[in-house]
Amino acid sequence: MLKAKITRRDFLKGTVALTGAATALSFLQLTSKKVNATELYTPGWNVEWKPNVCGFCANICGLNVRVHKKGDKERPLKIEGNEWDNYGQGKICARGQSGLKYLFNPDRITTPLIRVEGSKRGEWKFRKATWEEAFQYIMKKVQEHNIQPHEWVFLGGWHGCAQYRPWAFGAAMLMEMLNIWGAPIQNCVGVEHLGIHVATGYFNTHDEMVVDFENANFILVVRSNGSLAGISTGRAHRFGEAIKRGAMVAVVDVRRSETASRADIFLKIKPGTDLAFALAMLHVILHEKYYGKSLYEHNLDFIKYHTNAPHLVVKKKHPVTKQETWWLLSDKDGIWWKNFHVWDKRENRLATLQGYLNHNKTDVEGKPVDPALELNEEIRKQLLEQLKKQDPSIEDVKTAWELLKEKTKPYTPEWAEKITEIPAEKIREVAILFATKRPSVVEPGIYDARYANSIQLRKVLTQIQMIINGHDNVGGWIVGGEYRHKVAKFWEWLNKEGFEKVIGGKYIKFPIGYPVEKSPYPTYNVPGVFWVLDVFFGLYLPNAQNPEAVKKFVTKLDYTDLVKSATSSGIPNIAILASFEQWAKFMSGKSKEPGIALPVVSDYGFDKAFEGKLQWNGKPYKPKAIFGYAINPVLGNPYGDKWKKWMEEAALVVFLDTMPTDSNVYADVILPDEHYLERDDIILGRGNSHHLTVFKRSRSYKIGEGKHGVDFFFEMTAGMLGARLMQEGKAKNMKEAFYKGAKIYCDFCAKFVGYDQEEFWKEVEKTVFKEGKPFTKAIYEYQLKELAKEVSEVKGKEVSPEELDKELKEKGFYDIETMDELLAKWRIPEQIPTSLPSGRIELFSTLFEMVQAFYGYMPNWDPVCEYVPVRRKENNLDPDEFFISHGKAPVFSHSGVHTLDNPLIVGITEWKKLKKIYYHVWIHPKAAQRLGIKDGDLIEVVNTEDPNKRMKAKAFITEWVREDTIFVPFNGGTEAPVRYAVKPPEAARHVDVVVYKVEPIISGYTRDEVTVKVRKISA
Amino acid sequence: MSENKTTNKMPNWAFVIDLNSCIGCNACMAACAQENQTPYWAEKWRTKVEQAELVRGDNVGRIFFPRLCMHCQNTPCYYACPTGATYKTPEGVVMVDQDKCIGCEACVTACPYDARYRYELEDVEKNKELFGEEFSVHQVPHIDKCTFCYHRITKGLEPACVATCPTDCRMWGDLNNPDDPVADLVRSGRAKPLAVHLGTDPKVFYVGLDSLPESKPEVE
Repeated sequence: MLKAKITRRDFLKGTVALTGAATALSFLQLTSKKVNATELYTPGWNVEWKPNVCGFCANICGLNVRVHKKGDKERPLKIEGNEWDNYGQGKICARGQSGLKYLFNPDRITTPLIRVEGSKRGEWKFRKATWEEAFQYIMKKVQEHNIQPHEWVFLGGWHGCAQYRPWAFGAAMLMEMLNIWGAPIQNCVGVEHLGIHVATGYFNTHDEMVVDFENANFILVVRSNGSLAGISTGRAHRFGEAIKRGAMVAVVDVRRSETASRADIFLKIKPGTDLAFALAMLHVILHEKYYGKSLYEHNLDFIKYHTNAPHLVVKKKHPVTKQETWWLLSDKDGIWWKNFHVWDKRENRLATLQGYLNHNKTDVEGKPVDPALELNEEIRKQLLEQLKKQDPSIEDVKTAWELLKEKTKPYTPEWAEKITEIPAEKIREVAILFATKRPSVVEPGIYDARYANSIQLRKVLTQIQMIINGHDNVGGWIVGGEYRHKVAKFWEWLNKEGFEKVIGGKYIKFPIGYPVEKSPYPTYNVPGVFWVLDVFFGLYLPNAQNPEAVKKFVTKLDYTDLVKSATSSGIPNIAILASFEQWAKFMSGKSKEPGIALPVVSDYGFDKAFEGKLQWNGKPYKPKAIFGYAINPVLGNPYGDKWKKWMEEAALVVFLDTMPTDSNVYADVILPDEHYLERDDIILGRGNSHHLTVFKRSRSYKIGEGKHGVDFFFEMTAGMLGARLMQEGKAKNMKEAFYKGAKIYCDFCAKFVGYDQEEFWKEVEKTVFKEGKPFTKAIYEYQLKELAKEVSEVKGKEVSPEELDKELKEKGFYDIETMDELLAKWRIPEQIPTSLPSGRIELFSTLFEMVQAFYGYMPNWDPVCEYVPVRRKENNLDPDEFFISHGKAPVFSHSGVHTLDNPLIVGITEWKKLKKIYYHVWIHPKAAQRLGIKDGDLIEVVNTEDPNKRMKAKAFITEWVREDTIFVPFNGGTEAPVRYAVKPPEAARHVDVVVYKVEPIISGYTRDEVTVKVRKISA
Repeated sequence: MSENKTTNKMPNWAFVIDLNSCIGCNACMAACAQENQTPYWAEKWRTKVEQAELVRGDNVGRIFFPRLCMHCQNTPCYYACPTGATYKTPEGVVMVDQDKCIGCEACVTACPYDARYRYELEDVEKNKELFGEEFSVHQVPHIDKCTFCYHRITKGLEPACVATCPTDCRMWGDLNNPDDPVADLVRSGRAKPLAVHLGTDPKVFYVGLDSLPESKPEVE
């Protein structure tokens, strides 16, 4: 049990043993290593420990910074893992260890910079400026070019998304800057996690669940090296313990990644065919009945009572496209599901279930139900007749479980062998091991912008995880504490007043949180997938629920009303407008390319917009200004080369960053963001902890004039709103205008996150306007009081803000409730519902059914499962032609330059063979021999779809990769004006060889859906 | 054996590395370099992780092999040192006294594990630039090597690489402590020293050596 402190030494003694489902996790909690070391190295070097949280990647591992003092000199010399962090467990990776090299990097941006007059964007020619000067410069340009809110493109990296979303997104929403693009969707969480989300309801920040490797007997990893050994430290730590304990590991990948190096079973799969492998696994488990042997009776109960497997589905034609497809049997309120139906074996009747609920045990009237997973033919016939009377268009009826079985029937291991090139018996072996060596767990992954089938793949792997009862259970996926808390509070509110007053029935419909000012529930606290639905139907596409607007689109392909946003101007988001323009072409047969089903926070259509080809109200809809916060689209985005051009042509380009990057070199103004070790932070939720935990960063050192991102958003938004108030004559002078602007921002954000507006503003007035301290300090002071109330209530004793302040400053972390306490009351879905419209774990996705209703059926969003082939040449490759795969090295982050230009990281990568492994293009010896390529030769890689996309790189000859595939390290080859980074061609620049190609659900990048040609340039 | 032979009263520190759970993340290299201010800028490391292909029939695996000073009890470098700069602590940790070292490299030649390197004058200067004059722990040129993080272990901290190792493949213990599970791995023979035939009696032991081919994995 997690509560029991099991040390690593206990483990070695062999005392860690699986003790069954009742005992939950035994994540190792190391005994304190910090001890009381107040003096290190030599006498007189006093030590002070400053807790912090790593800022290199979204795993946010806890840190403890050792600051040394000698006389009047002070300097942080070492970063340790923070043992109070129950997720990172005192462990940090090479990046985390090298954080001080990033802090003291002479390349860092430490003052505001304004472009030298006469210099060109792309040249690193900036002059130092004050913050005041920089703000005024921006304001002047905004006025000069009359830049309207919709003409801004707002780019945000994971900091803005995962940590400061209320304040960054709040600023963007308040300013009505709808054109947001960022890491979360296309690159990162969306494209991989959506498949998981649509079955489980998660969508928090990163890592919404903890993978209980330590208690798993069998671990399956499909790609996902970056989220495990390549490296997500919290997961890698648990993975390591699992290996030591003897857990079996199967890895499916095209190469011997770091994770694959530890595999007991390594399956070197044909790139992009993993979905076929997963479907065949599902086939074996379902059709050879490994889900419901007597040993697993409880498991069958889980499927029956807590998933939507027994829910009835009917076959009907799509009203517009006339495709024959499957739908949940449900009464609807507009597009929302008011209820679901099952066949009750108890009383042989069609039973109606409550729409949003966590189980199938009772009907809407509270009568007990025994839901049938499968129908006998007589009942099916009888039921069909009954249903046809109400709706003659119904052609067939099944349970979702039967449909899942039917759909997986053809996906035999023998079928998959032909696609994956993995022997059928190996697939069968892995499936059987997975189903019988329980607890078994699938590594869910983080990043998978590779293939159009990535989303179906993750959905199928989730189905596999669910049907072995691997959810919120020992050795499986354990829901994160923060997300669980959000779900529970939302469920509590729905039952108290939401169902009755807001929705009007016991089901779910959105928006709830929009418009923010009138929202009955704090928008930011709407949990998981519901938050995405809330934003989509509340802010971006409110008219999707307006039958007239929908009808106009469906009947006349006129989308002008449909795409209007909820902003005061109604001007749509670029991605939504471009997407519907494409849907209109697709539906009228003018194009074979579909639009995008859910283009939220997407860059879809940016090319048209920036090139003046996107029209709104008969005029070009062209962005004028670009703002980027800790993001590097030139290096990280398939539009990389285009971003350069767009930034060259924009009226204003502003970045908030810590380092020069390939992108901010195109800025007019670069504002210095604080390094994470410099932040005296607000209280943040630890999304990926199994406990309900909060953390705070304490500043260990400060160089230059960097501002906390949240302080920047406060000042910028207050200033811009103030300027507007001045124009409107609502403020006498700038001081008053700023004050009033600040009040608007604070009120809005307070409403957004659920703070008491009046109390919060009092704190801001006192801290910011009277004491002259940063806005983040005001947030922290307010948060302390709120947290004290919450903690006092949970713990049943008075805990003061002062006590919490002391704890947070000493340890950096505070556990409000442990996983055991949370699981005892809020197990999902046994005790509270998921954040999906059905409230159950969904084996038939309601969300994909909704997408199907809007746009017709496509295999990509098949609500159950369907094979989606890879969109590239599959066979008969030319001798110099290859599949391409990309991935991350453990020493680098997705954040790019911060690790690429880190001298210590570079030192590691320069050491001997590592340079080849981490920067060069991996080629199999047989292929290399065929092309006359030797280790270290300079080669050229050319994209076969667009020969202009090409890169020069060095070759690393290794049998770790398939013969038909080359592997390219991702995110290397920066061209930023920095001194340490390894530059191309020594470091492969993956972005140069990638075309912009997206899948149709969320416009996720499909970087690997292409073949490339390779030739030798020189030795 | 040396006159500094460890006694049962003192801890007898030993290091165990589990080759089966190393994932080659290099956190140890970074932790060591930052803690001990070693010349990462000149490809000099007190500890490093080799990578190699491991061929078994058609199956080509990937192996990570962490290396560091073996802190031999029968200590070639100690005997080779003409000035007494190389010494052993009462706990058996092999150290270098920077002020006594004349840089003759006799110890570098004597070490069969390639665990020593020159900390040059330019490295000293570079280090001062990076860590600050006041906080530089390398004040003069010398031969440098792993110290088991002696300054940490004597203050109750684990060696830097052990403390950070994400998968805990690096373990640390006291052979004189009958209850120490790390020592158990050594006593039971599960953890074995490298190149026993050299007779150096190392204090670093590996779990998983048996699963490697007979020869050491090829390292470049």
